[in-house]
Amino acid sequence: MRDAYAGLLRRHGLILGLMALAIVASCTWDFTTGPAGLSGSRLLELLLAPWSSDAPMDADRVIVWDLRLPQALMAVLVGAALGLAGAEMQTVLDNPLASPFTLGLSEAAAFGAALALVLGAASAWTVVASAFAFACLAALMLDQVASRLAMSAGSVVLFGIALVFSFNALLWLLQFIASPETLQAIVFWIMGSLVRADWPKLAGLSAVLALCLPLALADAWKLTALRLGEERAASLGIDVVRLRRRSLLRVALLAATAVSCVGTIGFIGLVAPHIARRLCGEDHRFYLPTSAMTGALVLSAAALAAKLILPGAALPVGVVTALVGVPVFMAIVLRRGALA
Amino acid sequence: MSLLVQSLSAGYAGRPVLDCISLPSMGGGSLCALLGPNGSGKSTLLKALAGLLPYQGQIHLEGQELKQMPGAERLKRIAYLPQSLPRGVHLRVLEAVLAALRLGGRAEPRDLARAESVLQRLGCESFALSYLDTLSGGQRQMVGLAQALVREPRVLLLDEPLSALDLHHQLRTMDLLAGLAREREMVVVIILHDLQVALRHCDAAVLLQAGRVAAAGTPAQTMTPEHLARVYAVQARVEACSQGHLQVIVDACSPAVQR
Amino acid sequence: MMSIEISRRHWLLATLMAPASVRAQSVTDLAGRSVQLPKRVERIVLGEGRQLYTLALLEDPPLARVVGWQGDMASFDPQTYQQYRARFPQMDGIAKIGGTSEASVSPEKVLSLRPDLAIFSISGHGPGRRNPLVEQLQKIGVPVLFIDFREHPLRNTIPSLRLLGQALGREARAEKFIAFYEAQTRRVTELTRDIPWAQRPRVLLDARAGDVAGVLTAGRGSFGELIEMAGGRNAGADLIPTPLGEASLEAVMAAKPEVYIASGYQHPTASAAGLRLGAQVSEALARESLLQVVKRRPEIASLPAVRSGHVHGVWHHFYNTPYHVVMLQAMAQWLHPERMAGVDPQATWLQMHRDFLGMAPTGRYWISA
Repeated sequence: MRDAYAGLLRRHGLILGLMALAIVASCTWDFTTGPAGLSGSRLLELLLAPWSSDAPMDADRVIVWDLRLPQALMAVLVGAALGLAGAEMQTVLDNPLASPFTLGLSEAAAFGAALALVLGAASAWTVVASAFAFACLAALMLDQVASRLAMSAGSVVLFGIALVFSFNALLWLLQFIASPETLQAIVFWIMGSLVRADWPKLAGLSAVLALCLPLALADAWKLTALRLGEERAASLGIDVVRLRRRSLLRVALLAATAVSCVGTIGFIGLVAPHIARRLCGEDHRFYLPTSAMTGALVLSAAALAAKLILPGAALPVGVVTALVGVPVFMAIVLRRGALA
Repeated sequence: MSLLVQSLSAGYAGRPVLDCISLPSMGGGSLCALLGPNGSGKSTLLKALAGLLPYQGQIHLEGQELKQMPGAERLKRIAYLPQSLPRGVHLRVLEAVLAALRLGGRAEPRDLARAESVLQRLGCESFALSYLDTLSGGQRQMVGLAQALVREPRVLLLDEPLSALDLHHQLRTMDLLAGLAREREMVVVIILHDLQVALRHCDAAVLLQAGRVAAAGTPAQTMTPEHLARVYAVQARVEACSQGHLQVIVDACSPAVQR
Repeated sequence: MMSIEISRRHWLLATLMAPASVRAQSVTDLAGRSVQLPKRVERIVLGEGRQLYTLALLEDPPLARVVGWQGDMASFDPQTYQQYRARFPQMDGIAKIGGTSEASVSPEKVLSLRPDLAIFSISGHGPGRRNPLVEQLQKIGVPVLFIDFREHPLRNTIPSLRLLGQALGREARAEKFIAFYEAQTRRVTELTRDIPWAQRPRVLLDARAGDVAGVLTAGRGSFGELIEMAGGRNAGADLIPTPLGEASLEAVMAAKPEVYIASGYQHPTASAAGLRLGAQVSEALARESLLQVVKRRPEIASLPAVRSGHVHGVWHHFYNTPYHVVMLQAMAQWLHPERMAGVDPQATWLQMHRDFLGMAPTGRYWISA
């Protein structure tokens, strides 16, 4: 038994390694694809060229450093953030259909952004900050509800759905009174697209991931035990309410940051955990990182696919994830229906 | 090794359940059945013993009051197996047992050996690396027991462990529990609905009704026709069979008990 | 003398810039941004394909210097697209930077075209002023010029034309058209400015009539401004807060408009149900589709405007180009026929095509029932 278990651990490690390689491959392919038709050698040249601050910059340089590279990296980071957040959520809320956006965080962020735009926010950062603030507000409400009222997992989900509808309604109201220019900006902001990726956002998201992943791994055993049942976990000495609270706060931070960076990109947080579960089971030491990597791989591949399907136009990546996500989602639901 | 409960009151917010109950001292190596109709407080009693509910009164374990015991100490000594076992958990058996063991967070080198040995003892080796959601009810029950036993507790609290099992597995589990209780000198408290099982396998029994002790003692002493009539509102007989074992034979319902 | 309402600031700045003998000048665009216009412009990117209408007034051939544009021209106005394509088949070869919305614009495509100038609208179907593409273009030294004919046509049309003239080195052409525009507008405003409030009929504009479930109408701005200048009262101004928006049928009925004007742009064989107007549409077809649009919705058919026979239709795309001066004259004529006896929108339309577009107009662009 011990040998078999050791073999199992090796297999999990191998999967993580292979996924890392796949992510690098996908990211590289993504980086080298685009309508500008830049060759591999030209790209390499631009990556390695010393930094020059003379203006105006060469267009190819701007393409590589402001468009290709940030977008390719953003796909990986956002996918990882959503994959991790989704995995934690599905465990902590004991619901295989939970995802970062089931709890109203993305609607709150969209509302925050729209509010800033309608009130005439001068800079793009104000809009991002407002989106982030409202997502955190929604998370705070969820946290209070989950901990103070010590609500069960099911009730937290229901409250989250209520938040979805409430923020959506407020968003419709803002869209109605917005001028055409503002309305256009709102719609553009909400739609999930990697086009708005830039280096400060990448730095912010990296910092958030660097914070949340180790914290999540620190709770890994407790989360695994939580899968054994809430009562069982409580009897093993786990403070379930606090565990849930910590976990939801991490989820909120990850989701709020992701949405503030790229808008709403659906299905990654829903589907990546399921794939990770099939690959390595629910030992959270492996499940959490595998889910993050699956998310990263899926989004990077989707970004690549978006470029390959319609080479000229910029197909928003959110469209691709929805198109792929919907059949996968159906498959999950039907499978569970068959099992139940 | 002894477990002593005195003047215990416990309940939920706005809903008191147990009303100042005292139980005879339970010694190591014994199986104690906890019986009673629905809502009589069996689960509440078990949860209070497990430290999941606040209580008034005294619970002494090997002379020490539970409230004075540090949390980690209590966790080591008391293991609780709740009634419902979740379905659709994509975790392997060995991983589940390790999870129950490793809550401090730090993995100790002995952990794997301990998990292995308890799974062997319970006859679970053949499916030790299978996923929980591919197991039968009986197998899942064994895994649950393994999780509870891996910490080598002094007290084992089981909430209706037999409800999902077929006849064969029910008997097997009870035999196993009796054996383990004796081997490790554990106090095993089991909530049961099947009076026959209690009568046959347990050394002690407690009959609860509406948060109070209706009867306590050996199973034979507890399950008399009068007690059964009062608590369950049934007309029953307790007679020895041709092999000499006591059997409970339920004849008919009586009108419902006045509360 | 009452002149057209334009922002004083733009007017002043524009007059200072008018004798444009020096290039590489700094101007302020319609988004309030300071823009350094380049000395030479050979490669232009258009944020909206339909900027072609305006470009055609200043450039000949109109798309000679355009290297990339949004795809909305072919999608939203195939009739005009065909008209230009017949004369300039190389139009098909111009790179598309996107489809019909801001989200579909590929920044990489735009940058890789290496333009010298980008012309965007402050609102519409192309990149807006908050799009990161604007900054990226600036980084590579490409000036971005924001113009507007859509949100506030009355105050923004002339400054936008002037800016375009300067940017493209076509100041003389631009001034000539502006003179024409002002003269034709004055012919209407002279006659409408002292019409008392009580004599201004309530006008309902039904934009893209039949395309949406409710009624897409103009609030303050866009079509609304032109209706008021034509001597009408825009019923939509009280119904919706934004230049264009959806009002409920019930509110529209309660407003009891006395004149009904639908807008549309469908080509003759379109499967969609809207009003048919444009280069390929005959008078008979235009009229018939107008009647259809009205009859199909009983709520519209019951309006006082319809019952009294004051039903008209205009080409929808007027709302986004300086050509709207012709629509202004047509509307003024419908609203105040006795006063506008000397105004001939058809003649104005012909003159505009002859003097500025170098082609004869075909089809119908406005119609009465």
